Order: sequence, then structure tokens, then C-alpha cells
Amino acid sequence: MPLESQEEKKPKKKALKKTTGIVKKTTPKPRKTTAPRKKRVALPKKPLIENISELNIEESKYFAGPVIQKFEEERSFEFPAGYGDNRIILLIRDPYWLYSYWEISDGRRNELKKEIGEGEFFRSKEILRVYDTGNWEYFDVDLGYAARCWYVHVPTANRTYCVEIGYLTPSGKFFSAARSNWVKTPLDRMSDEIDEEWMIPDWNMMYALSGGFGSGKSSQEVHELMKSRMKEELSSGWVSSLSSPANKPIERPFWLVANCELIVYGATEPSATVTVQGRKIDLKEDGSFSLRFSLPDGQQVIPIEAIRDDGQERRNITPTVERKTK
Amino acid sequence: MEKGYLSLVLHAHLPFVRHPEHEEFLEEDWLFEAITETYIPLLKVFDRLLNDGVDFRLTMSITPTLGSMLMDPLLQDRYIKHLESLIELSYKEIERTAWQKELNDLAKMYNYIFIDSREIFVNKYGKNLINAFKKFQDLGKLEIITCGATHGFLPLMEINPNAVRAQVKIAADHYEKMFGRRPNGIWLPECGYSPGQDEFLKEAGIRYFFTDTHGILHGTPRPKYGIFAPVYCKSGVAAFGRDIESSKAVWSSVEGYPGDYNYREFYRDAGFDLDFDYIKPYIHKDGIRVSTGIKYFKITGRVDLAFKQPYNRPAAMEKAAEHAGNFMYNRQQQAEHLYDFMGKKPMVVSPYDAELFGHWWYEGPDWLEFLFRKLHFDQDTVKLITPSEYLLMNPKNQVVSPSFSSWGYKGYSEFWLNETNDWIYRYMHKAADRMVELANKYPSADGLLRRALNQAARELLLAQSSDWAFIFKTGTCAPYAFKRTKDHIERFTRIYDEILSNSINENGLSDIEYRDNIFPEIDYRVYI
Repeated sequence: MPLESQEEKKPKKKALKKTTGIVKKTTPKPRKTTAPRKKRVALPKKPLIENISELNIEESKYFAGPVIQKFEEERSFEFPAGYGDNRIILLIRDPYWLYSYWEISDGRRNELKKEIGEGEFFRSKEILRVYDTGNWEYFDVDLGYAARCWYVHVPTANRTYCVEIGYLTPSGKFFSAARSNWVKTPLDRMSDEIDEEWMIPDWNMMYALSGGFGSGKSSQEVHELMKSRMKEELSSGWVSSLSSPANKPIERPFWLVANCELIVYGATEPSATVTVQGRKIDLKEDGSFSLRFSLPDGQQVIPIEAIRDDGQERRNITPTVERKTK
Repeated sequence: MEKGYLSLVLHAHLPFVRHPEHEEFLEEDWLFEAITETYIPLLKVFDRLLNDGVDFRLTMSITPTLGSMLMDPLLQDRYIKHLESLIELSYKEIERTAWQKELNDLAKMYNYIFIDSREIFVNKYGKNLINAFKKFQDLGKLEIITCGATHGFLPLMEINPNAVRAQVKIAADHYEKMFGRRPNGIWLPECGYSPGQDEFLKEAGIRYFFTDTHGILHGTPRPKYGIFAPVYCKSGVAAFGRDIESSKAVWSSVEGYPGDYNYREFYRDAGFDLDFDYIKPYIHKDGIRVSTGIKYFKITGRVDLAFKQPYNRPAAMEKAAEHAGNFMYNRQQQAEHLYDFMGKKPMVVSPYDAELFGHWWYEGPDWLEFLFRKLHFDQDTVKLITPSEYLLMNPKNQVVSPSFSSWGYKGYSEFWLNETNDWIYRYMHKAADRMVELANKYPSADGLLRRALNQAARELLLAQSSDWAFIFKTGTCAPYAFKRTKDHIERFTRIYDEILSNSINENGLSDIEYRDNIFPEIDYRVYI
């Protein structure tokens, strides 16, 4: 089901009220401001590119296609810092991590400034309030300065969460600037729900077989095995190798490679027949020839013979080359 | 009588890379390498099996982006040019290696392969490999399925359900255009499923999809047969789970077959190894060294690239046959064991990237051929099957809602949502919202406005390819991924602004249409 429609089911106003209500009477369990989190102060993005000049060089090489117009690539475009929207989006990374990005519009910020009072507003902290929508318990994430997105660690898998971006005043009052969509994190183990029509005596065994872990493991063991299994790279990681120009397989220490090739060249009458090591070769129009050989260790005897087109005369030259690699 | 079923699935995908504005473009080589090393070798395997009366079944996704490129005349001609150049190089290589028999045999092999590829590509299939794959589908050996229109990672897109719907619907329509019928199944991009997506599949007439192992195993309620039987989502669309044992055998860099020391080493390539002046005409014209596909060495062992030994083709073939035998033996054991445990025939689903076979694991197509032959002639414990055939024979399956999952690292979204690439979603989501806004504002446009709306949809779709996020994460050729993300968002934004300000620049639009010509028959109203 599209996540947005879940949100629609619950009128925002009511939800907000309920939230504050709960907060007053309970000590919210998952209120871990110190929840392990990946700190991420997202400053405006620097392009991940260093050698963008390479692209420019390439782009400068146009050929005349049907409707090619230069303005298209020359027009500079930067990803906008914002769209003037007031909204916050929540995405699932895995059963225990969410990702949120947001934008607070100037209008909304000013509104809140007015509501909170300017002095109080500047002493407020920008926070992310993370709700478990099942019980509306929440915890706060202190965002520091100028964050635009955050990875949020959540304590329980298979729960529905939403977040609010807003300001927490020194007196502990929270003013929300925007509320996100709802997301439900996945289960990280077998469901507790069992369909009577589809029962089996040994679920653990089925789980182990499906995971390819063999039999005779405890449910905790198979659960751990599944977790480590998912960290194995069993999918398209290798595709990076498609980018052939840049493939660097192993970090090498200082290194050296050297090989030898031998060029055998010469010339004769253009109409003559030339063989090198008994093999007939093609001459260029002016009667010259040039052969290139990868030269292995050992001795190479290279008889070269030219025969005049009437077959009446021949010339022989036989160089001998030896390669020794130490 | 068989004890179980095996369904091999190959996911063939490349992002849409086509740059008519450049005479030569490095990243177009991705397609050319895959054609020579994967798609044509697979087709050769199918043809030989057919000729020898070996009955086989294979399921294969051909993504709309790949299909579009395979049918594109510009890329077809560029591929032929690419091949011609390789053929010329291989002739020179035969001469150059005359004093080293081991290398010389390989040079001759490559020369033969390139010439044969040209024959197959140009004469046998008229430059259009889609025709070739279609032939095997029509013969009932191959089941071709679809994928997201531009391989967008759907779970990170569903904040705007229309964006997901469009990825699925456009893909299914494009499939119909290519193959003359609706797709039965879909390979969800990166196997990325989140609950509810099946509704969009159902709308598009798709009957089944795949999830990673935990997608089924962690589904609700508990799946009685684990991953060894499909389940139905509430929508009635079936989900098949990936088998881990058989996945590991091929995928794992530690235990997998492709790491065998006798197999060909991917990273040693003539394009990097040979004297610059000699190889210059066969690499990128700016002098950037690239892979040529002429590779003379085997993996050899855990040694530096400099110490790799020459590749021995017959020895590698021996290994491929041995590994095929091993794979078959393990599937037989698995089937017998599961049959006893489940009291019914298990369905084992083994999906792999198609380009793994041939491009990365050079002997992959040969392994597949050995496997098909052995399964056909040597045993009857395991029977090859397609998901469609399975569902036809086993219409009754448990109803389970699969769990959010992908086949990426750690099993969920992390590969496409981390410090290297999370910044793109702000722009992707906004563009999708704007597309929906435009479509609703102009529900029955025609003429120039319609063209602009359709092109806006193409730009959005191209920006959504999961490949860009993927490349940011792997780090290789990030500048190109950045360029593509930026280009498509820029073009989309420009068209959006022009439409709203009623000032569509026709020349500018024509230029973008010429560059990003995917999905010529797209209808922007899919976003309504």
C-alpha cells in the first residue's frame, strides 16, 4: 500500500494532539537522544567529481548531428539547494536505520519564529522527533547546525515510524515545522504470525534449509547466520568492472613489468615474394615490410627470403636474436 | 520422476548509454563488451542445444534500457565498427604472438570469435539481438521477463506511487512492443521489493516477481515451504524467493566457481598490457587505455597481475564441465532432501546477473551449456522449469506478504542509500512530484506540449536508473554517473519550467529528444 495513504487515514491534527498527550503521561521508552547514530551533517553537496574537466573535454567534441545545439551542455546547471518547499521525507534503509531529508521553507520558519518569539527561537535547537506510530512514543535527535538530512537509528524492527522536523525551545516545548510520511520497517526474522492451514512442525528447520545453513541449528543461530549471509556480496557488486577504463583490481605495492618485442623490417622489389621463417608475408606498396613479434626468452632464428617475381633470383638474410631475462 | 524443480534466472541489464553527440563514447563499450562476451555467447549456447535436441528452460530478464539499446540503429552500427576494429587487432595479434604458441592459440581463438560474432550479429540476426532472444522465447525454451523501465530502485521511489507505477507500466508496454505479448514476470530492479508494489505489477498484468531469500522467509504469515515454493501476495501476484546455496556457488567471490585458478583472468587485457603505440588505434581515441576483450592469462592464483600464467582454454573447459557436474549434483541432493522434508517437489530459484556469464566469468556460458546437457542426458531428479510453468502446474500456493528486501549488500536499501548517493533522492522525488503535477495539469495535451511532457517523462525515468546510485557507491566512473544524474535532472527541470511558463523552446526540445530517444511511444499520462 502506498505509504502516503496511511498518513491520510490519520488526520494530522488529531495525531499531533495524541502525541503530546502521551508524552505528558509516560516516560517514552525509546527516548534515546544518544541512540547510536551515524552523524551526518549534510552540507551542500560537493560534486563527487574531481576530474570534471575530463567530461568537459569530451563534451566539447561535437559532431554535426541533426539538431545539435551547443547551448544545451554549455548552460550551467547546479542542483538547487532547495525548492522553497516545506516538507520532510522518510525512507527505509534497513530494519534499524531510517534516512530522512527535509527542507523548511522561509515562510514556515518565519511563522514559527513569530509563534515561538524571536529571542526564544534563536535559543531553540533544531531537532528531529522520531515517532513510533503504534504508541506515539518518541525520541529526539539533536541535529546541530545546518543539517539537511540524517540517518536515524530505530530500536525495533517491524514498526511504523514517522518523523517531525522542528524546534525545541529551552523550556522544552516542541514546535513542528513539518511531518514526514510513515514508513514501516521490515521484520528482521521470521514472522510470529502462523496460518493454521499452512502449519509445519519444524519452522526452524525450514528456515535453516531456506537459508542454506544445514540442519540442527537453533533459531538464534540461524538468525545470526542470515544476518551475516546478507552481508556477503552475492549480487551485482562486480558490475563496477563494466567500467573497464578504471578497473584496478588489487592495491599493488611498488611494481614493474617489462616485456620485449622485436620488430623485423626491410624492403625489396614491390613485386617480389617475401617469406619470414618460411611464412609468406604481405608487402606494402613500396615493397617495404615490418613485422612485430612478441619475443620470448630463448633463441630465434629468423630466415628472411625474397624471391623475384619471375622466380629467377633470390636473396637471403637470417638474423638470430636471443633474449635472456634475469 | 523428478524430485524437484530448478529455475535458472539471468538478469540482463545495462543502463541506457547512448551518446549520438559524440563520435565515440567510452561508456558505450559496456554494451559492446556485453554483446560479444555475454549475449552472443548465450545465443550460441541456445542454438547448439536446440540443434542437439537438448530440452532446456531458462528465464531471462531483458531490461527495457538494454532492449532499447539492442534495437537502436546507431548503437548497432557502432557495435559493428567496434567489432571490425577488434577483428583487425586480432589479426595483428596472431602475427605478433607467432613465437609463443600458448598465446598464439588464444589470438586465433579471439580472431575466430570476433569474426563469428560479426556473422551472427549482422547476417544471422540482422543486427537486432532482440529478434534472436525472441526466437527462443517463441520456441518455449526461454521465458523473457521485464524489469523496471529504467531499472529504478522501487523501494526508494514509492513516496510517489505514480513513479513506481510508471516504471512498471512503461516497462510492460515496452516489452509488448519488443516481444509481441505481455510479460508474465518481472525482475524487480535489484530485487528491491517493498510491500504494496505487487499492486502495480497486477495493474500491468504481471503474474510473478522474485525477492531475495529473506523477502519470503520474513514474510507474514510464515511461509510453510520457505523459499521452496512461491507465495501469493494479497494482490494475487506470485513471489519466488532466491535460493542461497545455488547463488553462492556462482556468486561468491570466495567459494564460487568463477574464482577457479584455471579460469580466465578478467583484469589482464591487451588494452592495458601492450605497447602504447601498437595498441593506440584500438583503445579510446584520446589515448585512454580500455579493455579490448583480448585476454591471455588465467587467474593462476593469489598472485600479482604481473605473474599470471597463460590461459589454457581446454583446461578451463574441463573445469567448467566439472563445475557444472558439481552444481547438478548439489541440486540433486538438495531436491531429494527437500522433497522428503516438504512432502512435495521443491522449487529452487537461482538468479544471476546475465553479464556475470561471459563478461566477468568468461567460461560462464560454457558452464551453462554443460549444465543444460548434463541435466538433460544424465539424470531425472531435477527438472528445469520456468516460473510460469510452475504456476500453471501448481496454482494453489500460500498467501504471504513478502517483506521489504533487496539482493544488495546487507539485504535492504543501503547500497543505494548511503553517504555517497543519498543526496540524489531529494532531486529524484521532486522531479517525480513535478511530473505528476504536469500530467494532472495538462491531461490531454497534444502537439509541442505533448512532446515536451513526454520528454519530461523520459528524463525523469533516465534520472531514476539505480545504476547511477550504484556507481556512486562503487566509486568507479563516478564522474559519468554524476554527469548523467545532473543532465537528466537539468533537462527535466528546463522542460518543466518551459511548460509552466508556456515558452517551450522547440529547438532545445528536439535536441533533447535526439539525445534521449528511449521509449519513443511513451505516454506521459501514465503519471496521472
